[in-house]
Amino acid sequence: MPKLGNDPFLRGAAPREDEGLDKTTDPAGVALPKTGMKKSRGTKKPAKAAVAKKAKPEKRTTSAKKPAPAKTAKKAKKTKRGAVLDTRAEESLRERISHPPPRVEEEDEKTDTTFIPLADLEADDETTPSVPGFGLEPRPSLVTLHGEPVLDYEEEDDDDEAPTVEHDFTEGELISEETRPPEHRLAPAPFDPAATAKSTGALALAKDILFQALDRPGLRTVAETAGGVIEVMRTATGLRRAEMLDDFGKDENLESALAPITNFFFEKYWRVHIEGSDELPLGPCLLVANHSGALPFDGPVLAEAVKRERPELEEPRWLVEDQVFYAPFLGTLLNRLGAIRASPENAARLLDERRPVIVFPEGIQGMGKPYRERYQLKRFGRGGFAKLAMRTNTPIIPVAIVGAEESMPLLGRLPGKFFGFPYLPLTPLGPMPLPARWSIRFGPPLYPETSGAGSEADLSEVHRLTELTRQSIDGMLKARLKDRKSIFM
Amino acid sequence: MRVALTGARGGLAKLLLPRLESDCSVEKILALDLAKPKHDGLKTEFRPLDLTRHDAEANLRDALVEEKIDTLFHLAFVYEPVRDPSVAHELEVAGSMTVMTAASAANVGKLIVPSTTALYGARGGHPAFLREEAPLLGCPGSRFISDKVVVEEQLESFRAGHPRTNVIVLRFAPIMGEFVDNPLARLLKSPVVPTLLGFDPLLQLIHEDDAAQALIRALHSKASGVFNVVGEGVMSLSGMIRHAGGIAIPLPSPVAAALLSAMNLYGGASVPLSLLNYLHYSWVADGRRASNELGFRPRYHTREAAATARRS
Repeated sequence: MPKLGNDPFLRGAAPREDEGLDKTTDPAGVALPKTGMKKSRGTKKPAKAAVAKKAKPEKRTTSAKKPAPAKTAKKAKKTKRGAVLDTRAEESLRERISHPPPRVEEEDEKTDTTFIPLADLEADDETTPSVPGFGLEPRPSLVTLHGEPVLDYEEEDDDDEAPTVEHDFTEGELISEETRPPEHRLAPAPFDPAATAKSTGALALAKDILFQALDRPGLRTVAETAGGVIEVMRTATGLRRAEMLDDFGKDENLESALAPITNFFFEKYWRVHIEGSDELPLGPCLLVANHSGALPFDGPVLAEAVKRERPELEEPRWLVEDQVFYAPFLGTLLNRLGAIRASPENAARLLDERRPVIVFPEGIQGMGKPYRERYQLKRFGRGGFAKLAMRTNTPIIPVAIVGAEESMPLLGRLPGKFFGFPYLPLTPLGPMPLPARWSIRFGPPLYPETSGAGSEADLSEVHRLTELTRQSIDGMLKARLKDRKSIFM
Repeated sequence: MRVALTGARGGLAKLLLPRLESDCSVEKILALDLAKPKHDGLKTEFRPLDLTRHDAEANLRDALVEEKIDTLFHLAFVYEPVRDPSVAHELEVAGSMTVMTAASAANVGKLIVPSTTALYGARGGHPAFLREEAPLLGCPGSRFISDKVVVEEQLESFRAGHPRTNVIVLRFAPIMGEFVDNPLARLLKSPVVPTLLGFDPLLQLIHEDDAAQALIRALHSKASGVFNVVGEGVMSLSGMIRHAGGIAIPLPSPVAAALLSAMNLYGGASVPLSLLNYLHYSWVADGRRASNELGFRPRYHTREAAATARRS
């Protein structure tokens, strides 16, 4: 009596004289999927197997059309335990083996789906035989007919290589699901009656029609814009709960969610016109700009301009003053959009990362000046940016921004202490900016002449740099204002 | 190496003792605390020590000399809730002083003291990444934090006065995990977390395994001084609360404080109200020095540390 091992199909089977059968189709003539385990046709009597082998060629073609009669010819067998499998149960088992269900998406191509877990074949087991391939792991303790343990069947050959089981595909042995007789088809997914009804019903059709009708560019833009606005509100109130932030607090996903809005503002609403972007050097630089407008739009707009004009540079970051950064709602929102608090350490770290750093030396005074004083440069702080440029030996690029004042003119101030703001700006449309035309002009770079760690003691150089930057920006502003024929057109 | 540690029943000791046991270069572990910890080990020996007693210094010194200890971990702290503020103050300030003098008298080569990045304070005006040189502004409303700032100052003057002893101070970001307990961990474990309306600061956490790794690195390292030990990356407070499985409720400041007191009274949480100060502005520490000098690289992101608070 040969060693039969654990294979339920082999228990009680007589030894097979014809080994060749292992590699070929079963006598029913149906090709089995390639498996690592030598398929057992142990239930066949050897005589029948021999007969079948001889008659193989004809059998295949005939059985390709009629698999059912061939299968019923299989006989019942005794399991090792002596329990006799019910003929019908055994037949259904056979079918599941010879006609495995279509593989579900996530299954590995090489996994054989026709293993039936041991537990399912125990006659006294209460569990219903589960259909293989639906999330069941085949038992690793199975052995083949000849007692060889089934090795890791995931290590089978790729489908691309020559299969170990010799299938003769030319004669149509593989029976696809469609050509299978209805009674042998198996449900392709875990059966969910409700879902099935829904997916095939009129409701699905109605949904499809609706989505297709709504899937128009215009509506999509509106939906995306609305989504972006909602995300902004959620960010400001702290309900967005973003989990992926960069080390400074910028939310990348918010940026992509706001892309339609950004594009709209940049290209259509403000029609930003950029000049002189070639002045920007590769590597770190300090972009010093005039600050204007009641709300700090100039920072993000300038950063966006640099990103678009010079995409090969590192991503620029802009610095905001304390009063804005620490304001409730606004500060959080700006931080998630990429703003960083203006301090020498932060700026130095950004320059270490070789980024263009956008600074507004006028600070909160730049934002707080009334409309009649527009474009008059306020005091440039204490020359912090010049000292930073000298300490880190980075060039200063003066930038003149025209259009921010008119987009968000400060008409008055309302008391804002209750809300945590120094004041609430009074603007024509509230938080919504006006469609003024923006113009951004980059000036020629200024290089610090003394540089290094202790150089900020050189106050004359600090003064020189500050003055030159201020004059450059002032000149560019005046030139642009003179050329400008209309504010909004 | 012959290692001693105070506070042997605490959370950090629970993390550290098994790792010391499995470390081949450690011959002997002397565990000191009021009562014997549950940990059993071949190398571990327990001695009772009460740092608030007047003769604690002599006891400790004798124990250190007898066992020829060359490295001392001072892990004896009381984490809030502080049931008895005077005992906590004693333990922190006087107890740390005791440990330092005993260590120098016993010629212990290295003294490793854990601390917290909360000592920098979460006021505005901080750079985006706090370096070790930043001043320790602390939190005036929290006695616990103020005591720890005093301890750090003591350690600083001790280091100046005793150049032979290598004093390593590890400022940990809030440690998250199953063995450690601290106010922020308790807050994140609550199902409902009050936050301040309009503010969503950036916070860091560190996983307890990374904290233990840092302690072991300090043991083996020749570096000296203060190190920020933080997990990788930052998270916004709201993201952190969501990742820990809670719900953030943004409220104006007085209402948030009221909700927190109500949670302490009725909900079983014990989160000090001064923690709300730390939910206002960002406090992110720069861990570069630990990375360069101690060779410490966190294996867990802040996200994963927050996820340990999730109730499964």
